This record gives sequence, C-alpha cells and structure tokens, in this order.
Amino acid sequence: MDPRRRYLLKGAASLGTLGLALGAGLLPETALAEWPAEAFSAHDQKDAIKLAEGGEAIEMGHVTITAPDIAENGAVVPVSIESDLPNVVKISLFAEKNPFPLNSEFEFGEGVLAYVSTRIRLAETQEVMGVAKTADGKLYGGKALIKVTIGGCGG
Amino acid sequence: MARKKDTIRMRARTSGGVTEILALIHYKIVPGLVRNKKTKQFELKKPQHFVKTVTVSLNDKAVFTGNLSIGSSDDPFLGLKVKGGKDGDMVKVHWEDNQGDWDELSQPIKA
Repeated sequence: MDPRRRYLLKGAASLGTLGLALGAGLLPETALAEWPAEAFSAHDQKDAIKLAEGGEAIEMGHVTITAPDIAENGAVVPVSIESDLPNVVKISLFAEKNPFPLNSEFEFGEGVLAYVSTRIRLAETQEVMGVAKTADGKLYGGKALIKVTIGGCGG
Repeated sequence: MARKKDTIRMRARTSGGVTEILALIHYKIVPGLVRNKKTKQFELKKPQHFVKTVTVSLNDKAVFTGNLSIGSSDDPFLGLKVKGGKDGDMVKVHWEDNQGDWDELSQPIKA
C-alpha cells in the first residue's frame, strides 16, 4: 500500500475533528455555563462531585430533598430540592448507584429561589444527594433514601 | 439542528410576590444503556438522545439554567420559583438536546 495515501487519510481525519472543535467553540453560548461533559461521564460519585463542584468538602444540612419513600417506577421519580440558604447559586443532584452519578445541575440567576423540582431516573434503590453551592463557594448537602421497585436506566 | 414543534407545555403563575414556573418538555430520552447480564454493569449500546440544557428567561433575561443528562425522566419536567414577576411578564423556556435539536416557548405570566 502506498504510505502517502495512509498519511493523507490520517491528515484528513484529524482536520475533520479540528474543524468540529472549532465549530463548537464558535457557536453562540445560550446557556449560563457549558454542559460539563467530564462530570456527567464520571462513574464514581466522589469524582463526579469533584468535577462538578470543584471541591469535596460538603457540610450536611440546609438542603432538603422531597421525594417519595418508595418509587414504583424508577424511570420517573419526582424529586424536589430546596435550600434555606439565601445565596445559593447552584444546586446539583447526585444518584450514587446510577451508571453516571451526576444527574443534573441547576444554576440560579438573580431573584430565583433556591428551589427546583424535577423528575429523574433511578437504576435501583439508593440515596440521592442534593448539593447546594453558595456564592462564596461553600457546599451543603442533603440526602434522601428512595426505594425503587423497577429500575429505570436501561433502554 | 432542527427546531422541534410544540414540545413545551408551560405554566407561570404569580402569587404573593413569587412566580412559580412549571415546564414540561415532550421528549423521549434514549439512555442507550443496557445492563450486561454477566458483569451487571451498564454498557453503551445505542446512540444517546437526551435534553442537555434548559434555559428559563424572564423578560429576556436568563434567570435559570438546567444541565440535564440521561438521568432525567422521559418528558423532562422542571419547576422553579422566581421572586417578582407580574401579570403579563414574558417567560421563555428554551431547550437544546445533544443532537442539536431545540425548541422554545414564550408565554405571559398569569396572576
């Protein structure tokens, strides 16, 4: 085989990826922050927290999770997270036993109360943790145990 | 990169100085994961489809961003509360998925 042909093909492939990366960078930013791909693909809860929040020290308290004790269907579990702290800028939700523990992140602008309600998927019975980040970078956490009858992560 | 049609249902009500915004996005999430019977681990089998970001704006000012993942349920739902907001103020909900599809809906607040 002609080695130059290989070379050309490889060159074309890498140019393609570069073009994609440039294109992504040039897109207008609609969201307040970029979607943290690394944190969302972490398999371990500790890693996910570190990547998503930039810290590990979480003080338990000031965060309440409202969720059913028993969720019959793991594919739809209503969860709401609330904090009584005045200066919360972000709330993240972690489900330790899901394939990817970081479930979702919510960033609050000015005037938004530290409250969010959503519906999530749970693979199995587990404790979900809500982490609130305050404007000065401190982390507060709250947990709730949810029993799941049928898991909801496959498909 | 296409806009989807009529995917958002929204309710925005204000009472006692706080506006509650509820948004439901009609969207079938494909986690793409299948549990391997031998190893009990989830493996990626299909291309994933999920809503990546949801942005909520009040009078054209972004006030809330949600970064979601495959861990959200089908037809992702969000509820949030904003201080202020009065009858007729416009609330906009915008979502985008990992395939570049998107949709948005603007609706006035009801008192």
